[in-house]
Amino acid sequence: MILILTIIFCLLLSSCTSIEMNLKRDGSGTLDLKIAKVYKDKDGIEQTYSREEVDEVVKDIINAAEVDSGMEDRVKLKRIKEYDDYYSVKLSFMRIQYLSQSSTGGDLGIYTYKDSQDFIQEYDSISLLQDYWLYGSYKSLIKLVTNTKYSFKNARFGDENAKITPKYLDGTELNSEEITDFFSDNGPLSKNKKGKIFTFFIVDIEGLESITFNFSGNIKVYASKNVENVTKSSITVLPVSQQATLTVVDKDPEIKNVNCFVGFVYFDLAPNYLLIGILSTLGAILLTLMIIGIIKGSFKRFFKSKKFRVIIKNYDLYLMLLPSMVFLFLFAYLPMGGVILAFKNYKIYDGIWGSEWASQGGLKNFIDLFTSPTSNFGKIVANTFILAFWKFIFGFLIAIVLAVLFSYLKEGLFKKSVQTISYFPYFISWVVISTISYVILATDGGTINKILIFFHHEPINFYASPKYWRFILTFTAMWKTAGYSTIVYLAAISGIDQSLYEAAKIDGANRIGQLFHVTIPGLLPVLGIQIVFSLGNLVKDDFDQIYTMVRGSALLRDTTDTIGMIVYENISNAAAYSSTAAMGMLQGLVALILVVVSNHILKKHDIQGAY
Amino acid sequence: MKRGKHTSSILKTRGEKVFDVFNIFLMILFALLFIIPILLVINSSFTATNELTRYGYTLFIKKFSLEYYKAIFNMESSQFARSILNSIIIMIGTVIIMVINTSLAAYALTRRKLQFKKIISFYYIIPMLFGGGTIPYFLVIKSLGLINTWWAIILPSGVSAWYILLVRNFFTGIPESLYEAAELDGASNVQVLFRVALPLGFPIIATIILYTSVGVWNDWFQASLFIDSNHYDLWPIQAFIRRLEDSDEFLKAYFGNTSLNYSGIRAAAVIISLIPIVIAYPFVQKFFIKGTMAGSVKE
Repeated sequence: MILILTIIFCLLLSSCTSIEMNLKRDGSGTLDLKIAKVYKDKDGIEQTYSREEVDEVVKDIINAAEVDSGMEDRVKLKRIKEYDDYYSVKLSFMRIQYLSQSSTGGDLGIYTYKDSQDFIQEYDSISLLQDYWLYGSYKSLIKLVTNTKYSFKNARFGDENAKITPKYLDGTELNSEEITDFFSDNGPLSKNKKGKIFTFFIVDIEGLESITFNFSGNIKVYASKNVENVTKSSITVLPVSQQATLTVVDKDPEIKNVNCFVGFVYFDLAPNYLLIGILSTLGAILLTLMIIGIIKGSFKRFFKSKKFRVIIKNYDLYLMLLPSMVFLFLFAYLPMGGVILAFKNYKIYDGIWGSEWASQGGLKNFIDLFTSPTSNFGKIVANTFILAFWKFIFGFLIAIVLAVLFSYLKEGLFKKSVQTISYFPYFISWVVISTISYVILATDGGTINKILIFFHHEPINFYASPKYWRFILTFTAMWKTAGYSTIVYLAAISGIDQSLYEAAKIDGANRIGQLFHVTIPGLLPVLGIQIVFSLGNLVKDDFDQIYTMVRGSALLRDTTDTIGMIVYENISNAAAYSSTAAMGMLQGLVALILVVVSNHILKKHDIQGAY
Repeated sequence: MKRGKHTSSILKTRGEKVFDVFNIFLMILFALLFIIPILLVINSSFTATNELTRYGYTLFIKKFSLEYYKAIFNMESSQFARSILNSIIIMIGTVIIMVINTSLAAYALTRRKLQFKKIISFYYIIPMLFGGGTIPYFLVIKSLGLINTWWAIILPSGVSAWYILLVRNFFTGIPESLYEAAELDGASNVQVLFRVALPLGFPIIATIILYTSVGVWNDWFQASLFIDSNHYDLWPIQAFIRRLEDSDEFLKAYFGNTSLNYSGIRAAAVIISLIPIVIAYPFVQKFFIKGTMAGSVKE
């Protein structure tokens, strides 16, 4: 009796290697790998797994995902537990594809998990399916079957000439045309537009007895191939065939025993009950509030109220607001929603919503900005801030000084001409100013270098010397805006009560005294508003100024690489969208905080705020 | 109140007189700081190639020539003239949409009988405080299918929360009693807008028209963001000039193996792009002081 039990136990032991996967709607999930310590290989010889070998297997899988996606954390090890007769390995993955995109050989089969429409649109998927069905993935199994002890570590792409033809259990060969038919324009798939396709190809894991896929939520299977044991929310797959024909060119076909898990399932996921739950709860709350409102009569009161009648009567006022609201929604609010990019790992084909969330709780892009060794975020921020700081300081200083000087000019043609001339650059584009400043700065015939040569000084190649550019950019910014920004202060000065000046004069104040005791206090309210508006600019950069002024010179990047420059550079580089958006979002946030805080301070001090 | 009254006081101390002379001298220098660089560009656009190459940029034209201007208008497929036309079309489109959006919204926001005004105003203030950034903006324009069309420039420039609030502030200065009088005559809200608000608000509307026009004329960023180099026949003038500045290859491609000085060609293009600004400038100047004040003094 004990003997029989022992035999049964041993049989069970040998068959306990299995994979269990939990798949979420977005294709992420976890994976439980049960690896038997003792199993029989295809030749019937008992093999054992050591802990080190299991570690090796896991390392390979994670490494493969890393190499292929180019990113860390795509597949993570949760734990390895050792039981009496098997190891239990738990992995989590961000996309099931990461388990399969292997070129290094550490993968766990080939999986796709897609919306059916996407699947059909990508003809590649179908031909890939067909390919693997008949040839592809089974190539090179020879190596595996003959050489390696455990076949997780396969060499799928190693031997181009090897070929396996899997069979159904009844011995007939798998037919690839069935697949093309199924996915063709008239096939069953085209009739049912929704749903997901899950395909799997696992052929070479020795000792693997079954795979179970658990889906979050209930599934309704429309069609499947080689899928068994379908329950409400999971499918369990058994090997299709224990036999495969291995063909090597120039050699006779060999028959080998290989586990083949090949198939697909086309199913519909039950809706996300959590989301429905939340939405319906919200709906219920709203409904309750409405009912309470109706019972208590506040709706009735509102609809009968004067307010409501005014709204109905002046509906055209609201219609007038509509166009600009729609425009703002499209071009201001939608991009605001787009900051979600910063929390994602953007892939151009997946779109904003389709792309998966970034790792580290979605904050990876931000963390990388600060910690990644390749990130020069610090330098970029410093460049942006230093430049903005100089412009901020000199912007105010020059504008106020100019306004005061202007105010001392006698009314007349001279004053008007100077003002007219000084306002003009504000209306010139940076593109034009770039040409103007090139005339001044050019190494060859530029005004400054002409003067330098005249004084027997070495000419300076400004377009190759980053150290001058903070000054050049600040100066040109002042050149463009200084005159224009005096307008506000001039108006404020002219609004100052003249009797204050008279009184100051009587008190014996000279012009400097008047300046500090009358003019500047009179300018403070306007100055406050201007500061609030400009504070936000402290972290922004006049990207169009820098971009046009440097004229594509890469030698100036040391001082001219600002956030805006990097963002513009990355417009054509979708791979960097997420990290760039993270940068832009931080910039916007800091600006927002600066404006809100400074506005708050102004209001506290009874100076009129900006909004 | 008359501006700068205290400066015209007859009783000036000696120090004040010295200061005034010094001030005038300073202002002349200041004006030269603006005039000279522009003059250098103007001159280089009129200096014949040999002289320009030999002497560089000069304050006086050594040898007058119109060769760059001729070249730029005779260039292959008249790309330059086309970019001017493109800019004008984009400008007109933007201004029309902008004026409609702005005047309607600003007027509605002015009326006292508009309920929930606080919340609605907030909808217009938020975009002034926070933006999504260039990348999300680009993706939105892209997903709207506007890439490589003029709409990508016209539509987003057709609304500005800032201008709406600016115009609203101006409209707020119009006494409500004028509106109410018109309403007593049986005018609807729309009629009040056209009969009262717009005629009285003409200066501010003119201001935003001029500002928008200048802004669109000067814009190269949106164009180079949304219209790629395969569609340069859609480029506005500034995007085109920027390409001229940016790369000798681009210039070569258009002017062939010209013997003309490249700087001269660039200068000529720049000077032409300045002409509309110079023409519009007196009008702009007439309005912008009012405009700037309306925006900064109230609320």
